[in-house]
Amino acid sequence: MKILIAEDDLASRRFLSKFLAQYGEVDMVVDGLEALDAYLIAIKEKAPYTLICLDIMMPKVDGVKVLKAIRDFETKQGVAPEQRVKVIMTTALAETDYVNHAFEIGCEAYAAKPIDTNKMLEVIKKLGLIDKLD
Amino acid sequence: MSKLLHTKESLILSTIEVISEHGLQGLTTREVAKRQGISESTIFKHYKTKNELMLAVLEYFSQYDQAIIESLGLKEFKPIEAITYFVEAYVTYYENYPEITAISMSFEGLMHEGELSDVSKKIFNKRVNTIRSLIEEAKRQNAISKDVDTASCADLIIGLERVAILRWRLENYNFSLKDHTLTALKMLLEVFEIKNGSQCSASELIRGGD
Repeated sequence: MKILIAEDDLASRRFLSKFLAQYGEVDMVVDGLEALDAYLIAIKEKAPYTLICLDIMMPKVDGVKVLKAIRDFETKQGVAPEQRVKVIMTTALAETDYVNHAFEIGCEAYAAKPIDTNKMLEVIKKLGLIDKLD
Repeated sequence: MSKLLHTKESLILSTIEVISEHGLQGLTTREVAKRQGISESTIFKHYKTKNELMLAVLEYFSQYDQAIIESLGLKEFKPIEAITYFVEAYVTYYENYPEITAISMSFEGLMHEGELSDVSKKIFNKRVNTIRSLIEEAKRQNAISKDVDTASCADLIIGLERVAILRWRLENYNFSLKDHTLTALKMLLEVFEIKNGSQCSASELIRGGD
């Protein structure tokens, strides 16, 4: 599967990419604008992402706004709900209203930083992404 | 700018870029329009005045403040950890977004700008008050000496961050703002921190360095 990690913190980015590289091809970006660009390029190249990890407190465009833009785009394109890209929000914030807003918009899961790899793995399994690996 | 981003939001990003490169005095809607590849009149469809655009920039600048403050309450940190978390949240964000630090450096320039002055003061005071309440809590929990003056200690922490940002900008971002600020903060807090029932005084620290 193709995975996009949008994360501004170097340590978290390294950690996530090492962990997720076992499960697919990983691209990394450091801000929300780059995340939107990477998302659109992947679609244009007909090789869309299966999983996107979005940091919330990201430079330029925050993760919640990126998520909203992606969901709006999918709706406009008539993408069926089950075909939507899976999005996991990652954040150093606690479950505040800001974070909960991401669930209202439509993220699949939320992972608090520092990331717990076991929990992350559990989430990826729950989303049915592990079966698609091979 | 991305096709998926609304013009109203892109305009905020371009405005921050212009302020970072040219300062508040150099901010013109003409320059913002140029960067967006649109006409000035298009800007005014989204923001009636330059003042309104600046208010949106200030709101954007402080968009995470409430969530960070709420997180402090929800995460059950020890007092010193809470202070570190608060500072770290901002410097982590700034590290990869140097342009945004131009806004915190612009507060003085906004002091005589009516509504903009009120909003920037509110943002500044909210951050100062958060640090003060974290110090008060640390004193209550005996993590910091009760003799420490809360307002002065908060000024030291905020001052540290602001000077680090200013030097970072002046030196063209050639060091890690996050690493430097957090190292300096740790040094500072160690002076006030009570460890095993005793506070390490500044003079002891200096003597220890001989």
